[in-house]
Amino acid sequence: MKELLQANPEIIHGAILLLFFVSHVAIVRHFARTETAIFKVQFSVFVLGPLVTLIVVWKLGLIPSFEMILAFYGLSAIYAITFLELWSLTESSYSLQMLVMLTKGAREIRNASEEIGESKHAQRIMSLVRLGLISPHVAGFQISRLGRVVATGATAIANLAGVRYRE
Amino acid sequence: MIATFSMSAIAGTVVLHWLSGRIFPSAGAILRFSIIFIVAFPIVVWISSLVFDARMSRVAAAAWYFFACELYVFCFTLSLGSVSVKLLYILRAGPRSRRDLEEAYSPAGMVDIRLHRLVAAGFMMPGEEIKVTKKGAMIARVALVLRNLLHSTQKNSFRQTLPS
Repeated sequence: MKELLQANPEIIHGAILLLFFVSHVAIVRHFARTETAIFKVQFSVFVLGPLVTLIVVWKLGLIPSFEMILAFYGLSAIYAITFLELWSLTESSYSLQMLVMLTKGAREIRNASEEIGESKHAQRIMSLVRLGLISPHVAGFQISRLGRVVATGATAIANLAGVRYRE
Repeated sequence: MIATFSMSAIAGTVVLHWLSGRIFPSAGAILRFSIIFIVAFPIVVWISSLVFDARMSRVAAAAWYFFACELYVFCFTLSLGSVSVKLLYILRAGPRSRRDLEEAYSPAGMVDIRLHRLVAAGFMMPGEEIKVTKKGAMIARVALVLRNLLHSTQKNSFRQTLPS
């Protein structure tokens, strides 16, 4: 067993990431309920996960190499971003909420979906103001310099990917 | 060396994705990227085995390439479907009132776009009465399982939106 782990240290890292996932399901999800909290938790996993693995690897008698550190951080980055994507998808995806409503037997989803849309719209305006991407204006709202940079970046990526924004 | 390798690989993949958009403009961006990634990932792993001697270097190169691909997909899906990004696009043309924003991107319009996409993806059946397909029901069940695993049971927006 020790020889197997020494030859494949990424198995140890996989097991440690699995432990982080199990601890999330068992404990962390009841405390970290907001986007900010879950982002902080996953950032901590990204930073601490490889460090814990390196300690275990060192205890097993291996000397951690630079390549090993890079590999562990790469695997942790994949875990953290996948987790964040799945978390936000299941938290707020409009399309998924519609699908779930229909699967649960709802006959009419338009009104309920429009209500979700209205609350989502208001929430998004508030978060954009909070992030400094838009600001209040005499007319209502205006885009900030940072917001313009983000919008330009998003347009560039959309053009690169060949996706079009539909008015 | 590992960073250069992974960055070159993701740059090549993005260029291929851009080219595929020019050659097959009607194909969905996610479908095009998925096909490219399925072919490119084993090739990247194979090339890394030729370039790097150490096993952990190969793992690191493949992991950072995979991460970069995931980040790229996240960014372009965000620019395609995010309500926040769309609000930024609208405000780029000049200041707008809250009512203007609501009219420019109305909840009814948001529902229509999503319904159209869900039908196009085969998750819903087209017609007068909206019905979910088998594929759509399966996705919804997976989403519910994931939601129950990842989120606190005390705050469940899916349950809150379900009809009583």
